[in-house]
Amino acid sequence: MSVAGLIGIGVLQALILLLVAPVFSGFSRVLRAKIHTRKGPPLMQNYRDLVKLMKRQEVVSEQAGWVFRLAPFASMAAMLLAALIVPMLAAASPLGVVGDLIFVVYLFAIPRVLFSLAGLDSGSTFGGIGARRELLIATLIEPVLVLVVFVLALLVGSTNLGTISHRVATGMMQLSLAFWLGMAAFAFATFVEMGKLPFDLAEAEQELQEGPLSEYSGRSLALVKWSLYLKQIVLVALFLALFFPYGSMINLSVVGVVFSLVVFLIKAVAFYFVVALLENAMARMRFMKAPAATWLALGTAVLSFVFYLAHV
Amino acid sequence: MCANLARVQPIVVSNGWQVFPGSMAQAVVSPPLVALLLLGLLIVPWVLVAVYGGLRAGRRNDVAPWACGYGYSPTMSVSASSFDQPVKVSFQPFYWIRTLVDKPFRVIIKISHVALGTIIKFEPVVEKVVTIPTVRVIETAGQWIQALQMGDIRVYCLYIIATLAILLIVIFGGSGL
Repeated sequence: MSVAGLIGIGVLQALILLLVAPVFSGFSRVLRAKIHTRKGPPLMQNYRDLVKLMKRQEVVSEQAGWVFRLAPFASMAAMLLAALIVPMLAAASPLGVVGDLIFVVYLFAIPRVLFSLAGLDSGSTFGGIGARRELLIATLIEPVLVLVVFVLALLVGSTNLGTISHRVATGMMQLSLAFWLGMAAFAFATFVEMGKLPFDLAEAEQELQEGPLSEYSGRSLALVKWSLYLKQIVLVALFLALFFPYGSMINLSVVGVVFSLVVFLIKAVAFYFVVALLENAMARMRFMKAPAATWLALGTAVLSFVFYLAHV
Repeated sequence: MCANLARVQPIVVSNGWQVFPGSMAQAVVSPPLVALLLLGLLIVPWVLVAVYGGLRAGRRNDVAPWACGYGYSPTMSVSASSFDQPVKVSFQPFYWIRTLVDKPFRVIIKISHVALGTIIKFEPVVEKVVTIPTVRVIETAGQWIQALQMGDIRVYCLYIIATLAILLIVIFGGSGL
């Protein structure tokens, strides 16, 4: 594939993800309402909220510094960069020259760190509590992500996202037990990173993971929400690119782009559907009990590594 | 140069803006591009805000923006120990080792302090009893021996003759000559 074509695809998929992210989040809200046998908000409600918030005046605490003001912009930029690198429309990384799988995984740490810094910076107690919980979740989930990433990179022999995606999509890689266990651990980590139950209640946003957001308002709140929606869909795209890239375009063509876009949307809808079923089937967990659940994921990831070593 | 000495090809780990572990196919990261893209992409949220008229809405700084029923006070601020509390609780086993090891280590430190004190107390004793008298004896003896060297050439000759006489007596005294 030509470089210009790849960059074009990258820009296209980043734009699509940016525009589509609020719909997907709205979709999970609708599903939750249906499961609760409520009527729920319309699918496009998130857009209305975002536009409304953009137009409102922003109120900032006097204690807040530049980190608080920069965080929404910078986290959206980081997520857009991830959206440019993840192979979504093609089985190749559009901006693979910028960074690889490890880089993308750590790119997801940027919004997290920024939000927790902003929570501290806001000077509000609530923001501070949210900030430290945010970082705790990070320390629990990041080892899982990184371990699975290493297992996958060892299996393929490369950390290039495009190479991994291509190998898996074309069946050039033997899908061993290590791969499946890694997939399970990565799916769990994705679930947690998406800010879902049992650690977070997305509609009571001030509660846990999104605590730092309680101080935001106006356009900053809109940007923060939008970048969280974007983070969710980019995470799903990353999961699909690594473990379920079937249907992605191998050779560059217009029909191929349209086809893989449709396939991607179907896969993403299916993923969100499963996530919605899971999150609504669970009770909320006490925050301090979170390690008990994440140890399981870490155990699975370690098992996957052991199976790789044993060539199972 | 080292590579030439070892007769191996130098391993290429960078190419322009990219860094990689010997082979581009394995892994690539380009720090300058990352910096440029992260800064450049800041434009996108800014444009979004501008398009929806967020720039006109402006910003208001408030001493107590959302204070409903309570005011901001320094006693409520987040402290370092409260910040790491969740980590301490969920990684208790690691910290447990620290508390477990703490007590024996304190005892060891105490013992070594006592040992150090004892050494400091007893070191001068050795010096007083052994070192200083020895030095004094040697110095006095040295002065006595020095006296031998001081004197006339005739006294030296007398010493030589006396030595000779003593040697003769020692060697031949026993044989009865």
